[in-house]
Amino acid sequence: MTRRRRLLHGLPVPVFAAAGAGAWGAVQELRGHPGVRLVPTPRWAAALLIAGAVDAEHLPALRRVHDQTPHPRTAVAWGAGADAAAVPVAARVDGGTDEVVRALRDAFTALVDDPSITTADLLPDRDPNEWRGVGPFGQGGEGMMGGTPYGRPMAMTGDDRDGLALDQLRLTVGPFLDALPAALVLDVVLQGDVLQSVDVVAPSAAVDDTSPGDGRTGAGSPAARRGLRWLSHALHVHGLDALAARAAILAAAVGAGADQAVLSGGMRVLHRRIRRSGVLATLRGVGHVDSASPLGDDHVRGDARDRWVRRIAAIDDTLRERGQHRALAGLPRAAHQHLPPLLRGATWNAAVATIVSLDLDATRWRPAGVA
Amino acid sequence: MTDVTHLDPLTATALIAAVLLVGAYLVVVTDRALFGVVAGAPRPLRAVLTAPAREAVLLLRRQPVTTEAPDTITWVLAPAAYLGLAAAALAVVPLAPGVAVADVRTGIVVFGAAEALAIVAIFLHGWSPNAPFPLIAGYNFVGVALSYELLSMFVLIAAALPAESLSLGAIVESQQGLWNVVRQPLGLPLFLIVALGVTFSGPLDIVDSADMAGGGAAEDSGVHHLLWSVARAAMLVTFAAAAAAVFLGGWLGPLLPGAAWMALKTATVAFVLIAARHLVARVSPERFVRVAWTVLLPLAFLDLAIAGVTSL
Amino acid sequence: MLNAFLAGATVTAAAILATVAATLLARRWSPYQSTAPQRVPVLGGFEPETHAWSRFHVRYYPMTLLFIAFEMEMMFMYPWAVVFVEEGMTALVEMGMFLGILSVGVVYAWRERAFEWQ
Repeated sequence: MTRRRRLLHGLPVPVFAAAGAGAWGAVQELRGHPGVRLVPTPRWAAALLIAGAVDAEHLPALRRVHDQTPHPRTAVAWGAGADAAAVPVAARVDGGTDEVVRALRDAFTALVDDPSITTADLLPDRDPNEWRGVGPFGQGGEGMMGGTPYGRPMAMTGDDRDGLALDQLRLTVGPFLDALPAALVLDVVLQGDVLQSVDVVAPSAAVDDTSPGDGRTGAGSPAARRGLRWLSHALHVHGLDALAARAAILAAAVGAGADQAVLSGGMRVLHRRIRRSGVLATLRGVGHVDSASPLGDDHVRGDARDRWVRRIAAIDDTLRERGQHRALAGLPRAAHQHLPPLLRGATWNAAVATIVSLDLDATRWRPAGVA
Repeated sequence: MTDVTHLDPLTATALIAAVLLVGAYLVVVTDRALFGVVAGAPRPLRAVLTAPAREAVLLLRRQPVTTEAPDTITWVLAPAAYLGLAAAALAVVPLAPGVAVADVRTGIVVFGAAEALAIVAIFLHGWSPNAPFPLIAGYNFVGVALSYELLSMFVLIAAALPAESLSLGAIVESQQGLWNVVRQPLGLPLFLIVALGVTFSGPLDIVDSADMAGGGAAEDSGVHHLLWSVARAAMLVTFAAAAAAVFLGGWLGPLLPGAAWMALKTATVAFVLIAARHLVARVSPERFVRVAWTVLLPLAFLDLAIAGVTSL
Repeated sequence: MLNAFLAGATVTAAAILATVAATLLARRWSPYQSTAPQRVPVLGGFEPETHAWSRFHVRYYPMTLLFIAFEMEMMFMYPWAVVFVEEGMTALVEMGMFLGILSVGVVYAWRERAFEWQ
């Protein structure tokens, strides 16, 4: 038993990151750290990382994500304002990536040594609807599609643009989805995998612009660091996890104030790998924003491929100290509201690619000196 | 034709189990090692070599969560069926001169059937948890899978033409003069695309993709996740072995014993597939369907025509 | 030949049974029970309103009809491949005609936008 436990001590900790808006970028830098592995779903995670300040209206969602993590589980809170009252945490960390990784590893080791310290459920153990014994067969349904069989109603039909009226899945895609920026909540209606309608549930209050993990500001430019964090997340969403790790390592190097030659060399290698991976080709024609759209700033116009190319070039220029770029600046705060017409009629993959290419998390952070 | 010693069931089971488990272990090790290399931060060798065992132990100790109203039977059977089909497909591949578990005269048909049923297994894996993202991922996958399925059939039949037989052993023997990768150059790239699709890795990782919270495996935890990953790695071994047998001459080669050549060629193909996983971005399902039917299918026709003309 | 199928079937059955046994045993020996909040499908924090099983609008259903046509053609190609060399050029020409007719189907599907989902 002890040997098996020691076997697990060196393993990278599978972590699901539930980030508040201000901390999304800092969390991406963990992709480059070998001590942890960011997973896209809480089911694969052993530890929950609560980073930054989570909006008060998203706390029930946080509790649900915590409960969805299988036992044995633990949690770590990172950054000022991380609301530990919502979830019992094993440690609260203020500091950089190294500190939080150390805290996660310690929490994981403690969990491996004694699985009984796993945290209890935060939500009541109640079915969503009463179904046991209800209805003619006892499974909660009535008639063909009515009632709540096994706890939930069945999906109902709705018209589709090609004339078929098949079932629609109404989902609230939550604030802690790995592929979407933090604190973005979408009410989507899906028919098949095409979005019929999208509503953005606006986050209510403004959040501080502080991002945990930005403690040591070296000579590196914060704009380049932010751009590399976005690139790391975007590469991960498109299936290039190793290149995402490379971008995250580069972002950490920028934050630690590495030499400019090293940084631009690293960026050159990364850029070459990105070009050869074909990700830019898959983005052609996806999420086209024309100049008439209210989103249509210069650096947002075009399709997803244009935005990626612009932003990678901007990161490159910033690393070589050729000046600040608008492409790395934030989108206006109200950008969330202009998403629905852009996403309507797109397949889920295309919609996620569009959202990722817009870099919406930039609504929370603005580099100094850029309006 | 070489006399093939068909193995008795027990030896056959032991051989296939050994090949699949050792192969799956090597696939996971190579995957972790390549991840570190491509990321620019190579992992220490000891960590990489012990990673599969450690991750297996971790997953076995975690709780296998269920969802609200799943189809438990298919949820349990899906990885089992997937692994069973990998074993069945590997059974028809000749592993050494004169050694095959089941080198039947219709080897390609069995292989194609295993591949087609794998579509069902992967779809059921996404369908069974009764959760939105796995369901959508499963349906997306079926669309992509039907598109590459035809490519595999055409390419394998093209390889069967010079051999005048549907048995993989005969196909290996027909390459004694020249390997199929040389005289049917389009065959191997198309077959590799199919292999990437069946093991849903790299550019065709539609079903377990990160943009759907892990896709079909989003609700898997603990033993479900472990067995699904093992089955996927085993299927990669099977397809690498088939590619080696059909296009790279199987166990043919000077100096070394046949089994060693087979192992070497399988390892090479597996390496290429795993490298594609880390270096090539995921494609959009809709675009892949369009490209597969309008570009890749004509290429498969061309491959068949080349094979036909050169065999006469 | 029967031995070969027996060996192949045994191998398949062994793989399936081993996996099912491992799954069921691990589920039974797990010390944890899934509670209601744990069983909610993963959507990033909120609950789904309905079951996921539904009359899913499969966007590629025209393509599946085309696939079935090609599958039937595959069935004819299997024996054709075995006798191809001894039949010679006529076999190649006949299969070429067959594939040509089916290719018209692919072109038609392309024109009818069967391969576009959006």
